[in-house]
Amino acid sequence: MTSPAALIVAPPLMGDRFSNSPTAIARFPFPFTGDSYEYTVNLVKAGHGSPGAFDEHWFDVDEHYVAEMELRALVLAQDPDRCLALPDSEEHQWDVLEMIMERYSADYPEHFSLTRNGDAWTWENRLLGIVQAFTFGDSATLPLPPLEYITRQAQGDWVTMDQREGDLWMNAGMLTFPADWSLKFDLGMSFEEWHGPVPLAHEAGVFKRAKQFLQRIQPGEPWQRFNWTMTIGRRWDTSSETYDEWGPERTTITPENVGEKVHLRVEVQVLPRLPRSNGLLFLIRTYLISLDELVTNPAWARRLRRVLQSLPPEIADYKGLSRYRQTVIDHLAPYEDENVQPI
Amino acid sequence: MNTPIECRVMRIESLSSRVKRFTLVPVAGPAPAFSGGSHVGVVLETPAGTIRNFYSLVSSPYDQTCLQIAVQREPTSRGGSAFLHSAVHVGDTIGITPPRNFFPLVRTARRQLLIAGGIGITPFVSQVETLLRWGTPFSLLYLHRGPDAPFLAELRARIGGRLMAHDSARAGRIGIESLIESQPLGTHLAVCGPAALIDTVTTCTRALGWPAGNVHSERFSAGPAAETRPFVAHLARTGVEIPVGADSTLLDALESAGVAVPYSCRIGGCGTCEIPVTAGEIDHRDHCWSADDHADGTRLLACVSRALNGKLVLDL
Repeated sequence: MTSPAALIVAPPLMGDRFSNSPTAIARFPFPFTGDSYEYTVNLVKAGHGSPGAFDEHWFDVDEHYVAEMELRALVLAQDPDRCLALPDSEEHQWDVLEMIMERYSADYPEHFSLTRNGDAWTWENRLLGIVQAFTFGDSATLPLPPLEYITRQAQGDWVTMDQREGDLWMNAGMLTFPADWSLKFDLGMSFEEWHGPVPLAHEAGVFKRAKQFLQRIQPGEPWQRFNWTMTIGRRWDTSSETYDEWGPERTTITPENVGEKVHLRVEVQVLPRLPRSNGLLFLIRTYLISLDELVTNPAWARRLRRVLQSLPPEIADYKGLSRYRQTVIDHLAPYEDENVQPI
Repeated sequence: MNTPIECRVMRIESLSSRVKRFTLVPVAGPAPAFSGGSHVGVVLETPAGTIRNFYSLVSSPYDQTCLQIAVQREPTSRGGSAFLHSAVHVGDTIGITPPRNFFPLVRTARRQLLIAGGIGITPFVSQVETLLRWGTPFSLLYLHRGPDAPFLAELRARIGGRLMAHDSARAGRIGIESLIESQPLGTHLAVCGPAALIDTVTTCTRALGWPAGNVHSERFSAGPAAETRPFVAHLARTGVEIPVGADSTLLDALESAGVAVPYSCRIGGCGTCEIPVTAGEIDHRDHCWSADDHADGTRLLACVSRALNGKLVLDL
């Protein structure tokens, strides 16, 4: 196996290594179930997808695994504060480590294995060439704190919440690929506080209801929902911290480059109860697909166009796509052809 | 509801004349992790049909070799506790649901006062382990009747002077009010036991101005039954009318009519069986939602809540 360090060759864009194979396109989590925009909580039970689908398992591992983990290491090398934990998160962190190791080894036995002998555990990650013996619950036996240790080996961003007094409090996270938010800014906030910037939904009572629902999620029964936005370039790290790098790219979209540069960014958010801490885990599993890749499915192209047409201006602004929305709509116009089969 | 976890009964011990402790080991894999105060549903195939009873876990959350429950034989039960006491033996397998917690501890509490009445001691047995691990200062007041009380000796050995045992058969009523009044600011109080004990405690904390968020309770029944009257549930989407008898619940009636509703505790404590209501006045009887939730008027918990005026229209 090539040493991981030798593979880190590109700056954070790392475009080629993240291009989607036909298989990846076919299993892309296309989030729209109708032809118009609707802000909904859209929660369904997680891990109930068909074999091979993005939601077959709780925690999806796909063809970008190694590239994504190496990109995470690069982002952390530049900004270690993308992984932060409050002192009250120790139990949550061990819960996350246990859950990822259990799920990965059960769902992807060809790549991962976990041997438990009481508290003496051995973890093997064959994709990254790691074998680690440690004592469960004893941080001194791991090279890194438990959350950072395991999420350097697990696709997606990971946030833990403590549940108490009728609210959810963000107390730890690994956030190298966020859609314009910052763990450093939000850590310690309550559920409605960190959702403060979302327009329209507070008035509709969405967050109050969602919070009540999330607090009732039970062990062994995680839920999942979609969130989406658009990103310029195949850029994973769109954090608030690096806005100066990626924000200006929104002004560069032309009819000539729109298909290659504009990406639909979909988050499959998975919410399992953490059993020992009674906290909640928030996995934000991100997928990026360029318009050129997406239009290989003409029904998706047509539906995306219609959703963009119906998007309220406040939402388009919040998602940061007002500047190029019309360019995308025009680009997708050919798919309004009535010969395109509906989804 | 998840598929039950098959467990083998490894040990059965008498903790008192009425309470037995069952040690359960999953047939496959380690025991599921849980948090202090969690319970499991035990699925019992009795001669009278399948019964699902809920019991607090009384093992340590930090021991994944087994799960333990303590079961008090109830003369008035639907048969579940009697079945466990007389018909379940070491070596049998029984199914349990994954652990759930509707009575969690608050990690940020500066101090914790636990008040248990009778068999209401059970959720605190696992919570004591969590509080010891967190290093949270705590006291446990255990109200029991006579020396024949489960966990009394074990808790005394484990937590020493932090256990305040009060034998009401010998010493009569205790001044719970003065105990609560003497707690420092920032204390969280958790109470589990008969409805009358919970009412006494919550009346007192309200009178003393405790923040509602610092007072936590778990009932072991739906509480003293207020008068119930029959009503009709009209299902708006199908037009079906379902009568709910005075001795039945809306959840029971919906299930009998073949309408599947997710549920868990069936005593108005967890919020799982929420149903949208489009018309009719609701008689809320849960102890899970806030006054704001009740004033909302667009949903109810089907296991305990009813119609105030004879009819409810449900968005089902």
